[in-house]
Amino acid sequence: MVENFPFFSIFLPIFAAIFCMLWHERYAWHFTLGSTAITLLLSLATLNYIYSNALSVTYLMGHFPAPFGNEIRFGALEAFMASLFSGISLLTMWGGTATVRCDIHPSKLRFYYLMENLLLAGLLAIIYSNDIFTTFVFIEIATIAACSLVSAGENGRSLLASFVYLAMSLLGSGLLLLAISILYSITGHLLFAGLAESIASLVATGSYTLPLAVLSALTIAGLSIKSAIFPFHGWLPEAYSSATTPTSALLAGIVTKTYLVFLLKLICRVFGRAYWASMLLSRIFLACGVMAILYGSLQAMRQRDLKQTLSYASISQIGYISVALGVGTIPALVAACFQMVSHALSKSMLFMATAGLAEASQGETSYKTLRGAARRNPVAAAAFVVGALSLVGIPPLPGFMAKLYLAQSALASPEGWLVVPVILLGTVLGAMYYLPALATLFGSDTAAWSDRESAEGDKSPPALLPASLGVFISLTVLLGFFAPQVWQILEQGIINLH
Amino acid sequence: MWLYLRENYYQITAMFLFGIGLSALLLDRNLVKKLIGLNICNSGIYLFLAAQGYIRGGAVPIVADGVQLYINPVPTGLILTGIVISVSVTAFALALVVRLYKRYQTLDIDELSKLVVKEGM
Amino acid sequence: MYLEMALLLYLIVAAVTVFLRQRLLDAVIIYASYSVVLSAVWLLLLAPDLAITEAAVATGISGVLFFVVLKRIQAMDAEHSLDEEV
Repeated sequence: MVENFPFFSIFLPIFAAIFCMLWHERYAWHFTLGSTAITLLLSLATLNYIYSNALSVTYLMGHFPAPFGNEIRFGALEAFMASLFSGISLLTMWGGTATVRCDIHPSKLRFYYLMENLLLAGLLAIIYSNDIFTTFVFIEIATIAACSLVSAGENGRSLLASFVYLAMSLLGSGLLLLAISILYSITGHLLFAGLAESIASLVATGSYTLPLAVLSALTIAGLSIKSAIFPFHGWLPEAYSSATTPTSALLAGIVTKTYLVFLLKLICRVFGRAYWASMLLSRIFLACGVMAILYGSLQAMRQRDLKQTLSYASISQIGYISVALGVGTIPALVAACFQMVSHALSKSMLFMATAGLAEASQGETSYKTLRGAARRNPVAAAAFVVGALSLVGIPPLPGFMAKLYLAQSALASPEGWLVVPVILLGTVLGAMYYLPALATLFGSDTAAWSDRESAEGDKSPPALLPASLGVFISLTVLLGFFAPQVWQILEQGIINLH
Repeated sequence: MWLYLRENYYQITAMFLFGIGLSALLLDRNLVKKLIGLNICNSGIYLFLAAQGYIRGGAVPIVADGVQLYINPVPTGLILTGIVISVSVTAFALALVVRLYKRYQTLDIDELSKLVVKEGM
Repeated sequence: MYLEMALLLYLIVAAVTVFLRQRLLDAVIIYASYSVVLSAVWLLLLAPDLAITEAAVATGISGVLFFVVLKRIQAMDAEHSLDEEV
């Protein structure tokens, strides 16, 4: 019975999306939150069932056997990621209710929630699917939904940012489709199990080396464009800073991670860890990650707007994930997953805290208007401090555990001489760009602000944003303290990924 | 080498189209021309995929009597999905283009970047 | 075989021409002709379902969408759309 839950958790948001369209806007909000909450419960139940029995389940759609039918496959890793993504989606939609109602025109709110449901459905299907073309189709669905969400803001900047995001994302999908077509023409399979066998036999006999190298390069290029790894990060700062803040929280938290989870599945299930570690491409990927860490941190130090700082910080943190994927050993892959989890939680919390601080500062996020915002909105400031400390890497918080695991796994591999100093340097640079932000927030309050009320009336029940920020803070602290348990779940997931 | 080129002229044309579309997407300044470039880029990829699925001497993949060899119908399915995705994305991007024009009265991407920054000040 | 080569050559020439023309109206018309010839190429590759889809969707729907957008951005008339920026 529990094995049916992933299938339902993919299709429930799609039905909720359809229902969002039909009625009044108020019901759209209820449908979205209800369906996301049910998806979260289903994913947690699946995770509990899978982890306690140490299973990896292959689910045949429609009872058709392997080469003819489609498959969903889930182990501990997929169930954990699905729970995380639906949880973050629920918290950002719940906490961002007031901000979304202010920023988006009321007649368009139904479509906003519809796109958000479709985004969640697409991301869950990418995580769960066992077939490379199904994943491609849902990648496209997620791309269109994410671009619609970015363009939903009322300013012209978000329109241009959405157009650039769309063009670059489609270029990435085109490269991915080219890689899929070469892969299909040399192996003849589309399901991951068949692909893994064919690629193993091709590598063993040494035939088709040039097509295999080309298609791996195309896949990495396509997925790097979509998840903003260093040379292809151009769309990210504009897209994150011009979208409405709950949307930025959603995009920064879960969308870019999903493509990296897909890359992880390709490495473990299709190419095989041994083949990936022997390719020059994994070293190039690692080098791009290193440059992302340094470039993101250096650019983040120059910004004068809080959302721009957080966007460049995202580029830097995603660099850690790609460094871990480039190293390629099992502890490194688990460290990559842990960094994904920790960054998803912390960055979403930082963006929601920015929403809270901006609400108390007349809706703007530049450093000039945010001076002293900590006194106007203490809960949001507390959440910002916790998130910033976690991403910099202060001990009990999960960001520190992620960097520790990454450094431990890199020391055991031949690239340790490069990775460990870069992690230390990245930590120092991270402190250097979060400190001006914290100093601005806790700086002296300008007198004109302190007796001005917030101009937007509350059309929604109050205290939703502080409540969701409270849940975020407690989840982050819990993740930091229970890091070894989470490590075990992820490790079992990655070992069972084959 | 020349035999290879003569046998695979579909794939070579497909890659030329991909390259032309890609250079238009990146280098041209007008937004509508960028979209046309994206469409040509995608259709190059579909042409490549269809050419990989073609088997010489095969017949159209519709079941009929007395036919021994059909061409591979799976890439055709993949391309159909791709064409539909391409059209829906073009429709969405054109909606964005219309809204941008109504707001800024220009479709040149350099001028748009400057205008957008100026509006934010 | 020579028919196929001629059609593919037309595709490449049309693709290059689309980007060398200054007026948007010309570019969209040449793009629509590109779609029609591509539909014929699908037939030569023995994929009738692709030919129908390409003709109906990519030429029909996508072409109509481009023309509607050209009308909205006032590039339809031959006199108005002399600059590329419009």
